[in-house]
This record gives sequence, C-alpha cells and structure tokens, in this order.
Amino acid sequence: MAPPKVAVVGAGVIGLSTALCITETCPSCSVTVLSDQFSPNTTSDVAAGMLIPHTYPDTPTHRQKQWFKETFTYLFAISNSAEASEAGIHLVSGWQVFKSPPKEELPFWSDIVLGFRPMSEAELQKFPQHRFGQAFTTLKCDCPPYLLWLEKRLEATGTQMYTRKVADLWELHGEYDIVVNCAGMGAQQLVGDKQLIPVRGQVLKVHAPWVKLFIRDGDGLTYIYPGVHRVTLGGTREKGSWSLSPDTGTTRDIFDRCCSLEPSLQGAQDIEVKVGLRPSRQCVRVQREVLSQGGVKLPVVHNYGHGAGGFSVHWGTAKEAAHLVGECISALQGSSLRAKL
Amino acid sequence: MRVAIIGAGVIGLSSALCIHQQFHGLLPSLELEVYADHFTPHTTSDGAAGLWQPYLSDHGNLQETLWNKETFDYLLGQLHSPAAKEMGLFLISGYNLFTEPVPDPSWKNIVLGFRNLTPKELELFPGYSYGWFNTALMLEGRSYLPWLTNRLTEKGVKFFHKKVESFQEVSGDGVDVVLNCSGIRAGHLQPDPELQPGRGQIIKVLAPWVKHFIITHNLKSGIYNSPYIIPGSEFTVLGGVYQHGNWSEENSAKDHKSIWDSCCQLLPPLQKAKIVGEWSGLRPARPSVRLERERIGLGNLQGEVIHNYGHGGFGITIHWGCAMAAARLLGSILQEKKQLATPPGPRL
Repeated sequence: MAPPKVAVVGAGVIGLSTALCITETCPSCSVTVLSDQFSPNTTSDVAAGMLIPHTYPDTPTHRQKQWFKETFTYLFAISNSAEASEAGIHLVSGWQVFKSPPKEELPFWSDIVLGFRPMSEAELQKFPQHRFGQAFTTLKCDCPPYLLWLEKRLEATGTQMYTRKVADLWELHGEYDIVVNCAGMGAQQLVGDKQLIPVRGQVLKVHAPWVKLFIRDGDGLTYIYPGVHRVTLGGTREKGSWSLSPDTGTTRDIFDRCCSLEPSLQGAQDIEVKVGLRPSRQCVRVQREVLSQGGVKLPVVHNYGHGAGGFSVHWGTAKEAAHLVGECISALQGSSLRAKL
Repeated sequence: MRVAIIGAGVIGLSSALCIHQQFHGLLPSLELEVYADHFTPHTTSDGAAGLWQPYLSDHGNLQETLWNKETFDYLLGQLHSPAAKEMGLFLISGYNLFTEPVPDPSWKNIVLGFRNLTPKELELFPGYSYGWFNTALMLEGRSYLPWLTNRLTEKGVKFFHKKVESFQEVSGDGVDVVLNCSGIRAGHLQPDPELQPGRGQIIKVLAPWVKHFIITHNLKSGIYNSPYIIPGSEFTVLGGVYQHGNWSEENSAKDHKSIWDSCCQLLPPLQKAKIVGEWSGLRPARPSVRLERERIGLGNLQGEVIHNYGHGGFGITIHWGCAMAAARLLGSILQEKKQLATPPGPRL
C-alpha cells in the first residue's frame, strides 16, 4: 500500500496539533491540512489560550485529566526552552476568585498546574466582593504565535496546507485515504452534529503591560489573562448565538467587570474587540467512524467539540486522534492485504 | 520655616512628600526645597528594577524590617488607586532560588502568599534545589520619581539643580533643618567610612513573555552576586552583580558577559531576547541605614540635619518607612522649637 494520505480538516489549535501528532506517530503518512481559515482568523486566535480546563459533563474525569496532563507536560517543556518566545508559550501565575464557595474545593487539575493552594486572607483582601480563592501557576499559549509555530513545524515535516472550504467530507474521498475532522464549529454543518452548539464569546485585547498576574472569577465569565504583548479581558458565554459581530454594550460591560477586579485596567490602551464561537459539546468527540456510501468507505477520525477548553486539552486529544488514525491505517492495510489474497 | 532636602532619588523625594503630607496642615508656613545634582532619570533609583524585596537576612535589625513592612503596606494600599499606573506600581509574583535549604526571611509574612517551591517548580531551575514563591510589588523608579516630582511641584516645593558641597551651603537664612538624602555621595557632605558603593550592573532586554521575577542566591558570593531576572512594564532587567568598594559607573564588558550567560542559563528563552540597554549604578551600602538627627554648627547658629541615607540595594523597598521616620524626627525638632502648638497625632 502506498503511504497513506491523510487530510486534516481545520487549522485551529486542534487541526494543527492533530496534524503534527499524526506526522509524529505515522512518519510515512502524507498529511495535508485543509481549512477555510488559517491564523489569525481562526476561533483559536480569539481565545486567550490559558491552560485552565473546562469540565465536560459527559467525558469521564480521568480522561479529561489525562488530556490536560499531557498538554501541560508538553507545553511546560517548550516554555522553558529557547523556542518559548517564538511559540508564544509562557508561565503565568494568578488567582481564581469566588463569590460563593466553589463546587469542588480541589478541581481535578489542581495537582497538574503548579503550586495550587487556597488564597491567603491577605490576598483575598484585594477582592472585597469575593470570599474564596485559589492561587496557582499555569501556562498560556498566545495566538497567533502558537498557531504560526505549529504551522512552521508542520512545514518542516513536509505537510502541505491549503485554504479550502470543505462542504462535505465525501469530497475528499479518492484524494485522501483518511479524513480527520477538526473543523470545530464547522463540524455542525460538515457532519450534521446537532449536539454541537456555539457558545459565543466576546473578548477585549488591550495594551496593559504592567499586568503580570491573571485573575479569573470562578463563574468563568470575567477574566484577565496577560499574554506576551496583550492582555485578554473577558468575557461572555452566550449559548446558541452565532453572531460574530462585536457588541458595544458587551464591550463596556466586560471592561467594567474587569476593572472592578483590577482597577489599574482603567489605564489600558489600544482596546481591540474580538468574537469567537466556542464549539461546545457535552463531551469532546474523539472517535473513529467509517462513513459508507454506495459500497464505498471513508475512514474518518473526529476530533472536535472542545468548547471552552480547546487549549487546555489540545495535545492530549491530538495524540488520541493520531492514535485512532494509526488504527485506521492498520485497518486499511489489513483490508488491502485481504484484497490481495 | 524652611526645610532643605539634599538628594532627589527615591529617598529625597519621598521624604519631601511625606513631610509635606504630615506637616503642611499643621504648619502652613512650611517651605520645602529640594537640592540635587542629579534628577530623574539620572539617579541611582532610576536604574533599579524596582522590585520590593529586602535582603535575605535583616541581621537582627528589626527597625529596618518594620520600615520595609510599612513601605509594603503603604504601597499595597495605593495599588487600587487611580495613581497606581502613573506611579509605576503593580503586583508581581516570582521565585527566589537557592542551592540549599535556608531559613525563611524576615519578610515572609509581609509579602503575599509566601510558600516554598514544589519539586515540579524546581524542575524549571536545574542546579537549584530549594526556593520560595511569593507575590510582591514593583515600583518602577522611572515612573515613581516623576510622579513624586509632579506631586511635589503641585504642592509648591521648589527644586534646585546644583551640587551641594556642604550642609552650610543650604542652611541658614531661615532653613533650620536639612534632610540629608544624598545616597552614595553622602560622604562628600560628611565623611562616613561605613558608606561604601555596592556596584551593580544590569542589562535591559525586551522579553515580554517573562511574567515572574527570578532571583537566585549564592550564599558564598553574597547578595545580588548571582543572576536575577526582573520583568518591568516596558523591559526586563537582567542582573546579578554586587561589587563592594567599586566606584566605577562604567559598564564592564566582563560583567555584561557574566550577567548575560548566567541569565540565559537560568532562563533559556532569554537567548531570543533583544538587548535594549545597559546601566551601572552604585548601591549606597552601609551596615545599617543612617536615619538620625545631628546638630550642626552653621556659623553663629545651630542647625539640625536629619540623615536618611545608606539604603543599599533596598531603597525602594524601605523608602516610605524611612520617610515617615524622617518626618517623625522633623516633628520632634519642630516641637522643640515650639513651632508646633500641639504635638503631632499618634501616627507620627
């Protein structure tokens, strides 16, 4: 059998990292990335890229923890290397504060991030409206740098990347042996998944270089995430909204909420407003499927539905998807052998 | 009543502001004058990174520990004020690293969230087996000194650009009290063999992905003779030189190489950082801060000098506590001269 031709649909953090994992687990594969958008125009580019996991209600906790751990370990190593600045990966410390007691005292990821502990009384005094808090150190993947760095690594492996809107996975049959669906929100139309719902997020990216610590309200709605050059202020979680246009009332509201957590943000400059649709699902779909049409088969690996937690688990799900691609290849080679007999 | 302040670094300017705040209401005739040969951005304070952190050990000097605490608490209180950004004041977290376990510092309960480093955190710093994590404050001289200058100017404080050669030069003619905040050059005004330069050199780089301070310690070579990395609001400061007795303010190529190599080894991502400047300065080092009154003969008259110098590498860290102590000393002087009808309130 000729080297398997794998098409990865989607060039956000999931598509690019999955493509990279496939080149690593299957060096003989020919991998091509197809997407209607590339950085800086993907959903991933809007996100802050903070490694603070989102909890998926229907994915077993141990699996989410494994994904997060693999992602954290992988990024941790890069953050301390000479490539860190190009990749946009850096450590950041800060606080998660709660007005009412958090559901769990110790989230499942507390032993994976660094130095996790409850906030002291003195630290909580900075937040008069909040009564509980957690302090820890985690990682941040700045975009576009991180996506551009993934693209650069892919190019080094000979992976081709094309701007192309895939309307139907079947259009890839014949050109490619295996299709990997990392289309994020696009999967709703591409594979007709009605469980996939957009959760609209609006953020502000501002110039406030004196902000060195992150602050997040435990309700997940208000957050301040300092990146390499900009600070991301958020946000919103509007379930079912497809609007990609910034809303000025929302901008004002986000700014006010963030200033109440960090008053010095009043002096922030160069406010840029961005909107993204989190591709949300009760569980992340990392799954093999063999599509069948008129006696013809198309092996597909799905890797989408990461919602608010894409960056936090991307490398773990990419590795799992690459493993599933490996299984598809074995299956193809098996049936190819049988065909010869 | 005129008070002359010699020195316009962080000590001189903050002492002036503190005195104005404490006494202006009680003594409307109070006039303050600042004399200095160097103003921001050419003072020692302007070169410092601006991190609030005392030395590892206070050598039993509890007074200095209290002044450090007063400064931290004062700055923490200013953090949410609209002035914070203009002052160059912000929170920062980071690491202190050691090659062996050390006792907790005197300031562990002053800073926020002080704790030991976990094994996983220590993996970031090969060669170091022990350390602390805490959240402290940055007060950047390049912003703080102009802010102090603006506040003082608003309040009618006068500034004179001159090199003062003696206390007598600025005293007399209604100036009864001189505040000596002359830092490293206090010896020109009055010999003090205990005051010695602790020469430092720093490299300024652009490394905006660095969000933590990292300070290493080599117990054998002494404080600040080991690499440190301190991210500011515009650039990151790389350092790690403390040369006792060296008066040179020229940048040394040898020190540059040592700082660059050791900081890149400590934090490999720095290899890609762009160098944007270099600076050397003389920490006004002394076994303890000289903060006391002295009666000086000024021709026919007796004047008073309040000394406030010798803050070594912790001037920003201790400045406000010392400014308040200097203000208290002025209060005693004013009371003795019966300038104050009632004694100042308990805060003094």
